[in-house]
Amino acid sequence: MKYENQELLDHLAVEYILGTLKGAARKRFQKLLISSSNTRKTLWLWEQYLNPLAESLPETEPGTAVWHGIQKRLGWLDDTVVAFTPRKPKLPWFIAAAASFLLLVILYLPQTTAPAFQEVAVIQNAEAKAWWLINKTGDALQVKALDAITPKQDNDYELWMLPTDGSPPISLGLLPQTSQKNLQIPAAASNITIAALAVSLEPKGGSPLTIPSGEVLFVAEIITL
Amino acid sequence: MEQSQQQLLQWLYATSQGNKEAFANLYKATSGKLFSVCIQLLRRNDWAEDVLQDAYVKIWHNAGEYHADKGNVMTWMISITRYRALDLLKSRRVKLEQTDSEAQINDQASAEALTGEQLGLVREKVKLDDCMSVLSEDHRISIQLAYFNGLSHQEITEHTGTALGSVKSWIRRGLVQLKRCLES
Repeated sequence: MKYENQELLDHLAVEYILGTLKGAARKRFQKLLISSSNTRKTLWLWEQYLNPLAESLPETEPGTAVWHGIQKRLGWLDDTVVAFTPRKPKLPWFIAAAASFLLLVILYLPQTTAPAFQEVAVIQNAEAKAWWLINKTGDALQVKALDAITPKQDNDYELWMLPTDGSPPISLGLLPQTSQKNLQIPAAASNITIAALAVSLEPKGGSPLTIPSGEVLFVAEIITL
Repeated sequence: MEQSQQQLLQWLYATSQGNKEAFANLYKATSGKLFSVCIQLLRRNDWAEDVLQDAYVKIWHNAGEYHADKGNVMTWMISITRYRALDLLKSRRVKLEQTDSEAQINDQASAEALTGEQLGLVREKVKLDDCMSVLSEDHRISIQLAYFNGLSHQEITEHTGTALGSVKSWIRRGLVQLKRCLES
């Protein structure tokens, strides 16, 4: 059989790696890869020979949307967060996303000329009981935990801002389960328009990833007043 | 950021066990390189991002199938990425749509031909560099155009202004020579 000719196999493997093996010949080679261990080994050998060429390329950082997209496709993210469209008053995914909870965030935007710049968000559950009260001054967030919170000893609640441009959520820190806490909007995110806030349930210490790793409990559009 | 093979192997192994954090680390360490591979072949940012996503989804699912016979971790990941990019090139007939960036391709292709040696300065010297440099310029450029840019024999012909038969034999003879050098 002609495929027993190692020189021919080498040639086919290389053309396959380069992408210059096309059409029926490429398909025949793919079939051969399944049936012949020597063909597979030949291909792997040439991959080891040639791929250092690619390792020599300088790095190009992909956009953050790529990592976000990968996680979405692997089912690690709540689709509702990814598909979030803040301008719509009614969002079909909302009920599914919120599961048994409902979040209401009310933001009071101050006049830019006002001497005291203040925004307030109230996060409530389905029974309209407030869990957190968030007072925003500039990039500083003063978060007050209220009595209605269901305490979690083995988890943390993490607060996220969802940018209007659809880019991945940005962590604003862990929410207190009692008392109050000061959080800070990251400097890099201070100019990003917030479409909404989200609260996720995370392992102690917060999400190990740069986006929510646990269940997103609350998502809502922001009502601008 | 250059990562040691051992570190990549640990992350890949943990990935095969379902460890998301390890996969995130693997992505962080390798995506810059793989994205360059995509960009070089596809010339379009959106397609390059699609392919990169496909590649990492496949890496996540197939991490357990990796073994040392397939080369080091980076080699294996580059292969996954390249084959996906080549599939996309074929299915979307990207070459027909590239006419507007033909000049750019030529520029970059020339640049690559020139930077073959220079690239060796910014990374660990591998045997491949030495062996590539032994090849004649025609052989080397033909291989680089096919490998980096995904150009077909015909397109290489147009780029280099030589006959189709010559290009095919350049690649063939160049690779025979390359193999002999790599195995010596």
